[in-house]
Amino acid sequence: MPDDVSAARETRVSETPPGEPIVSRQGPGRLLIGIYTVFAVAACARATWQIATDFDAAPLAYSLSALAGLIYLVAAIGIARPDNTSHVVAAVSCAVELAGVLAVGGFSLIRPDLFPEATVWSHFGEGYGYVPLILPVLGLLWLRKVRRSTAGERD
Amino acid sequence: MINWLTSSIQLIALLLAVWYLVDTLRKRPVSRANLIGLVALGVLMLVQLVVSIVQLVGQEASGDMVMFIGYLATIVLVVPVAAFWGRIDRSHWGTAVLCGAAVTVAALLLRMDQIWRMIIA
Repeated sequence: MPDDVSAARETRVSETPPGEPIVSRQGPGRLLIGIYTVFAVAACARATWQIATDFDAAPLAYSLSALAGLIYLVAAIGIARPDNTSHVVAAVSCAVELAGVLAVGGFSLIRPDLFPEATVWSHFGEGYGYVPLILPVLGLLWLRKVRRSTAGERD
Repeated sequence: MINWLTSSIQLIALLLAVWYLVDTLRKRPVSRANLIGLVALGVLMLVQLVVSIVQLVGQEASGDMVMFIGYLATIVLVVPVAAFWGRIDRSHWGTAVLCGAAVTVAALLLRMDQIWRMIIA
């Protein structure tokens, strides 16, 4: 994981990326897609079950869990696909996810009454080892690195 | 869940994760030994699967049980998927995928144990 950060810092220093364009689904991208897929499956399965059986207990929390699951899925597919449009979609997913985890994390601390049941994003993803908070940041850094490595070709 | 068995599997999964993490940081691609370790973890997942099926028979069906079976299916599938997905990457990031899979297995077993307590309560 620290490699991601240092790699991203290198890219920032050298504005003109040397060497071959980076393939989004290889290297660190492979790990990101794997983690996103696991989270997508986990969040969707959990939300589906909760909404089907017990929606009235916490409609907001359960809907958010379902939304989070879908966003994880879109991000995983977006990073896995090679084209630029998919990467933009993935980047937007990561940004929404980051905004979501910050907003829900904050609200769950200020207004716990809104979230009687935990979501993936409650308390900044505490129940999931803060992975939901770290994942979108790593996703955005990776997508930026991929974009910069291919920018020379396109322009 | 058999406590000692689940705890042992979690410990082994975490030890494997540490090993994979060290190899990732040393920029090693997936080695044969790495894969043998993952296969061993896969065998333990099958043991957990059989134990869970035996224990689930006779329990009253409930939402918790559906969740439990979902997690059970996931941990059994994570290992072969990671083996394939990690092996086709020729860089040290393949080893990182194995690390992620081992951590996932340990975390999901923790969650399964919590759900199991609700099922038998």
